[in-house]
Amino acid sequence: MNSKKKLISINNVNFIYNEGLPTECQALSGVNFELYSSEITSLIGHTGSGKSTLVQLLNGQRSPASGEIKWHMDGVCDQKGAVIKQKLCTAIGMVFQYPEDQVFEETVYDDIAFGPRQLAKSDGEIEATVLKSADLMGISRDLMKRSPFELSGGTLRKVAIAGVLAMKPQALVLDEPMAGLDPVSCDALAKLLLELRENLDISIVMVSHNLEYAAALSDRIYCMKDGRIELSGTPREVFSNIEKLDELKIGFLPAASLARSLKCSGIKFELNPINAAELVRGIIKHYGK
Amino acid sequence: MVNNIILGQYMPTGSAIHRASPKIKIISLFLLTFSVFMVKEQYLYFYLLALSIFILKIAKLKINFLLKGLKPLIFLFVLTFLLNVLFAEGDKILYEWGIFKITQEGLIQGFNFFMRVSLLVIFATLLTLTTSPVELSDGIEECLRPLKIVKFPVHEFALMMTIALRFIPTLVIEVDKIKRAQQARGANFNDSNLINRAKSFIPILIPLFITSFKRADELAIAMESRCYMGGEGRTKFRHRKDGFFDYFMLALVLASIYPVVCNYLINFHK
Repeated sequence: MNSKKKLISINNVNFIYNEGLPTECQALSGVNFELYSSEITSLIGHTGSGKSTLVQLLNGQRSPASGEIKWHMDGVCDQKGAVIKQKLCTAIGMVFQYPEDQVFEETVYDDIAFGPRQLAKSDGEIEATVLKSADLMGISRDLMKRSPFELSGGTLRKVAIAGVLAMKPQALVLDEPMAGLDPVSCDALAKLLLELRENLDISIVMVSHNLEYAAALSDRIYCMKDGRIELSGTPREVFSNIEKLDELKIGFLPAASLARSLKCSGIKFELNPINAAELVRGIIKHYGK
Repeated sequence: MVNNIILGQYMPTGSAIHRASPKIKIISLFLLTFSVFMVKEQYLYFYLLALSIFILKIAKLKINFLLKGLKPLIFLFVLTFLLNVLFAEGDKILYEWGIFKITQEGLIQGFNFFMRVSLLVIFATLLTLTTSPVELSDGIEECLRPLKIVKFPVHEFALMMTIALRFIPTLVIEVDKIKRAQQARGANFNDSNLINRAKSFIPILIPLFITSFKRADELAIAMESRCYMGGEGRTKFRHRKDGFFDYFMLALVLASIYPVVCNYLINFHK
C-alpha cells in the first residue's frame, strides 16, 4: 500500500458553467479530490451533482474557475512544469457515457487502431497494441474484421473502451460505464475493470449510479451532492455512515439496509456489513453467542 | 446538460411585438421588404431606418442585439458598397486611378445598395429577435396555408422546419461530446495541413450521422406510436387567433410604408 503514488490532486476547485450569462450555474464548489495509482475510485451521487463535470476536469478538457489541479504523472509536463494538453488527453483515457457513439471505422480492428495510428507507430506495433487491448477487454479475435455496427451494445462498448486503452493511458476514467447494459454485461464489465487494474496496474475512476458496483470494485469513494463532496473514504467508511447517506438521499446498499432493519429488531453487528457475506457472518455470530 | 444554447437570436422581453401573431409579423416583414425596394429617393432610407429603430424600442430591445446580428455581415456591406462605387458607370468623375473611377452616380448607387442590404438584414433580425423558432414555423405554416389548394404539403413542411430547428442544439452538444471522445483517442483537429485537417473531421462526422439517423428513426417511431398521422384533422394545443391588436399592428405597418409607396408611384409616373 505504501507504493501508491498520487497521480492527480484537485484542491478547492470551483467550476461555473456559462459564467457571466443569465444561465450561469455553479457546478462544483470547493471540491478536493485525489487519484492514486492502481486504485479504483468511484464517484457517486445524483444526476446534476457535478460528477461528470469533475471527471471532465481530470484530463484538462475543462479548466476550473478557481482552485488548482495538479498532475503528478510522467510525461504530461514539459521542462518548465507546464501541462501539455495533448499528452494529458491520452495519459488519462476518457470513456464518456455511451462510448459506443464514438465508434466510426469500418472494422473493429481499425477502430481500436485509430488512436495508435494517430501516434504514427509502425504497423507491427499498432497490431500488437490493438490485439493486446482487445484481449484485455475480452474481444475475441474473429470479431476483428467485422463491422462494429453489427455488434451488440455491450460488445460495442468493450470495443470503444479498447480503443481508449490502445492509447496506453496511465489512468482510465469511465463516465457511467454500466448505463444501459443488461445485468450479465454489467457483471462482465465489472470483472473486466478489476482485471484491467490487475494486469495493467492502471488506476480507474468510475462515475456510477450503482452503489453495489461502487462498493464491490472501489478502493475509494467520493460521494457528491450539489457540486460538493459530502462524503469520501473507503467503501466501508462511506457505506457504513448510514446517517449521512440518509441525509444525502443517496440510498443504501441492500446488505446495509437489511442490517439496519435487523438492528431495529435487536441483532447487533460488530461492524456495519456492506455486502451479503458480511451480513451473513454477522447474523451467524449474533446467534452463535 | 447545464449548458443552455440560445437558438437563433430570440430575445424574450415580453413586449407587445413579442406577443403579436407570428403570421402578422411575417407578413409585415414582407411588406417592409417590398417597401425597401420601392425607395426612389435617398431620404426615405433614413425614414425606414428610423422606423426600424422605433420598432426596436417598442420591442424593448437594446440596439446592441441588432448590431450583434449585423456584425458578421459587415464584410458583405463593405464589399457591395465598394463594388458599386468602383465599377458603376457615370459621367461625373470625382476621382480616377487606373481602371478605377469614382463617379457621383457610383457613390449614390453604392449608398443605395448598402442601405438596402442593411435594412433587409435589420428587418429580418427584428423578426428573429422577437419570434421564437417554434412560433416562426407556426407562422410560416399559417402563411403557406393558401398553397394547400395546389396540394403543397404545408403541415409537413412546417413540421420539418420545427424538427430541424429543435435538433440544432442537440447536434451541437453531440458534436462537442464526440469531439472530446475522439481527442481522448489522440485525434488532432488543429493540423496545419488543410487536407489532414479535413480528414480529421471524419471521426466526428460518421458518429454524428449514425446517431442522427438513429435519433430520426426513434423520433419517427415515437411519433407513430402516438398516432401521428400528418396534418389531417390535427388541432393545436395552443390555439392562437389573430385579435384586434394583430390587425391594428398590420394596419400600422401599412400606414408606415404608405409614404414610401406614394413616393414610388409619383416617381414611377414621371
